[in-house]
Amino acid sequence: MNKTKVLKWKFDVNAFKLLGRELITDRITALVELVKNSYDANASEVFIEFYNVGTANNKNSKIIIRDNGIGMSADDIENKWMVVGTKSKRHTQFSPKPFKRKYIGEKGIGRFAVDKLGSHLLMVTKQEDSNEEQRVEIDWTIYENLAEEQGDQLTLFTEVENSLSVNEQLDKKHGTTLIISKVNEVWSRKDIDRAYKELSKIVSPFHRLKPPFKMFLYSNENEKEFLNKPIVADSIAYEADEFTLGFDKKQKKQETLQFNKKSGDAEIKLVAKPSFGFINVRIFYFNESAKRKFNSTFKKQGKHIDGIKIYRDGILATPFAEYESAAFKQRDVLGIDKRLWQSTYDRIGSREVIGIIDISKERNPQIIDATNRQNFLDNKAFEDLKDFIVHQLDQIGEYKVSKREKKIKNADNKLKEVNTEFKDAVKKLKPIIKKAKENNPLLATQLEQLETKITQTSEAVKTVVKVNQKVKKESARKENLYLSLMSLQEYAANLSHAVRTSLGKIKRLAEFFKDEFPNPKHEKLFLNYSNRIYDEINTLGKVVDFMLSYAKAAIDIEDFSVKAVIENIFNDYYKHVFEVEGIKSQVEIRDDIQLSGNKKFFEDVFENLISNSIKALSETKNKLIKCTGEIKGNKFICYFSDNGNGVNKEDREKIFEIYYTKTAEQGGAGLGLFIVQKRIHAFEGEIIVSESELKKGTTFKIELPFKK
Amino acid sequence: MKFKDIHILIIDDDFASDDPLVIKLKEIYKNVIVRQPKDALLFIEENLSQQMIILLDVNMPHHLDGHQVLEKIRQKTFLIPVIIFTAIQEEEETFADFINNKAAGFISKDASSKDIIKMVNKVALESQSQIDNALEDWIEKQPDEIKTKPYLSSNGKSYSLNELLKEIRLQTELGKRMSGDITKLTIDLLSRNKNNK
Repeated sequence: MNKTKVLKWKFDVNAFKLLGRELITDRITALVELVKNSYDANASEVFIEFYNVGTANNKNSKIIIRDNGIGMSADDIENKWMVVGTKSKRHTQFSPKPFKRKYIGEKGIGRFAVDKLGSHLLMVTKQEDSNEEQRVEIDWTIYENLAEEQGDQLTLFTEVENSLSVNEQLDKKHGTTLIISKVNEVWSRKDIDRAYKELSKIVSPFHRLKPPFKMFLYSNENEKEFLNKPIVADSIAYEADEFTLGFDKKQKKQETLQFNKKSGDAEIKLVAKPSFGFINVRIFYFNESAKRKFNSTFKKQGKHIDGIKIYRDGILATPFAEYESAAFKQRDVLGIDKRLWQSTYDRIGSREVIGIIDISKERNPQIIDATNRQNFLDNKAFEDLKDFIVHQLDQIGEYKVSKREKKIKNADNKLKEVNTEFKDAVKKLKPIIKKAKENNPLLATQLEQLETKITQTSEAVKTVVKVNQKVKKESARKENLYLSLMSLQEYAANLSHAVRTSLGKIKRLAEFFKDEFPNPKHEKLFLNYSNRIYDEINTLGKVVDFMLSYAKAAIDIEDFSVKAVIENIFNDYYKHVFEVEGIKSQVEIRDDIQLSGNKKFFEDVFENLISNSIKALSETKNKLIKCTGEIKGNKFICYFSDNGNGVNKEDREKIFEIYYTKTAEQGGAGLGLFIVQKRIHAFEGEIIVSESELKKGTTFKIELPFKK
Repeated sequence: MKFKDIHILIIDDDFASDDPLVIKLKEIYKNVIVRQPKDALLFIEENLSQQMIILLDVNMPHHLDGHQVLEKIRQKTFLIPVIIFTAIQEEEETFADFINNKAAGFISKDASSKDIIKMVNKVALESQSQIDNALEDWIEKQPDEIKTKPYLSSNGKSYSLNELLKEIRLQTELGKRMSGDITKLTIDLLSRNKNNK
């Protein structure tokens, strides 16, 4: 016999605890959840008000949350609000136009948060096009009491009755007000402070919300501070560095960032009015920890650290309007990420900044959306604007590098300090222990143990310092090795070509001797050829030395004379090359200093500069390479010049970028000057392009600091 | 074998004009000329009526490289044999254009004079059988007045034997038609001979 019976779940009245109290862990979260519901309801304003909550069991205690959102109809209340776990929000991700907010409320449980705040709720809600105002009352004490009293007879959660009343209300006002009374817990000023802080996280301080979402906090017991105080997000709380740029209409100047090497800051500088007109700029830079902080708060809301966007008269310009979640699909309208691959690690990319560029129709008429809406019209003004933005990022990039270096230095110094302090302490302690031992032989064993412990710890500290230094050296070595490998690759082709050519010559010359000697017909040739064999073997030897110097380049650190190295390169290594190329070289190193470091890397500098000059000189008639050096103050200053093609003013900084080359036709790979600059930096020096001293061509100025 | 009519042109940016290779080649060939790329191209243009074999270096910094030079030569004519004379081992891809441009051979920069000359001789031998060179051999045997006299006219223009040879070497429309006709005729004659036997 088969009998079927339908079974259904039932909820005990205790379920209300489960929903509210257990899921929403504390009252501040509860408050935030309720305000988030206002956000999801497209409110542009929400008032959070505390009345008489500073003392316990105050009859008149109340918390009111009042918004001007879309409100609810009777049907909404009955079929959505009163249904546990409704997910009307889940059908779409975004709220209706023009708000298009990404829903942030927890799915269908926010309303139970009320229970966490107070035992009684009066909800008043009205929609814009309705004349009815809905009032719902829920008394959580009834549930509570039922739960407590429960004997044999079960009361179900869904059987408790709550009342809904409808009032006529003719004005246009709309929104929802939650009046929570019988407040459970005391809210001190500090608690309200905390609430303020948490509420301020609802809206990202870095993104512009249009229409806005304004929050105000009121507390009748703290009117001095919380008299409808606007809740504003604090960007500092996220540790982002903020850079704000404006303009001076009177002076006709635009502000721009300029990295200052001395201060290590990106400072504000005034420049002439740009071709694209005046703009306001706010850029937030996030380092790794700031990024983490930001993401933990805002990722859920769909807010990302997503680069720089242009707003025209406060509204996002159309080329940025389409939301693209996959980072790699995002269009790089401003050309920010394109430049990343040009350099190694020091550049700032879209994933590290949020930026707001404010333009207006009136001030910047030249910045025009392209007809395809995917970009801006590609005119001079937009080109300049892009350059301007990239310039700001590059300055911030330098700031980032300098900050990182400072941090490393600080950590270093701290370690060293700890080490010295510890040593001092041990020194002072030892005689004391000795004395104590003499005075109190009973303590001797214990003191001895202490002594060993101290010695051990002291050793440990020393090891830490050593390890740290080793790690630092190791990473510097790796970087250098990497760079020398890159240059090695560049040279390998040339070198093997040189070796083979040289070998071929020698082989044929020797072959001639073998076959023809002592044929009197060729007597003159024999003499000529024997000289050539000798010269060729010399050249070959140098090429091989040069290759070998690479093989062992990476680790050696030695003291070397700058003068000797430079003269050696010009007068030995490159003598032959200069002859072949028809280049006159002029070397005048008046002073000499000793540098400590990798000699090969110092040679790299001049080898790369020379190879660069040879390319630049290919079309010059009276080819000249000149190198002078002298001491000025505590710096060794070296000028390296050629009278070749020269470098445009605007390219002077670019030429040090990796893969940037103007001599691709002559086999330039854009590595040479990049290596030069990195090598010079490794010696804590600086290299710049200065005014040409030969009227035509390029002059590099190299500064190397040294200790007297 | 008339190697004595052939010029050897070495295109290289760094090659001594009295290198043993030059001395040795001179013993076999009419003349050996060493030129940098630009001058070499000029020389080729001015001496298209001459028989010529080229040894071409590839890596010539600050000059046109071997690839570009061969391309330029091939824009003028496909009839001059070019031997690639290089110190680098190129990847297949970059070699492809040498093959497309009909390089006659490859030899390493560190080869001995003997090996290089062997290669040049082989190429010279092959080129002897080319129509233009065969024709040149035949023209050589003609009396001087016939060499310069109008021999054939096409489209209202008349050509001497020497001029016809130039048309073939430059591979003009007329030159191509001529060499095609000569080949057909040769095959025809050969087959007739066979049939007669």
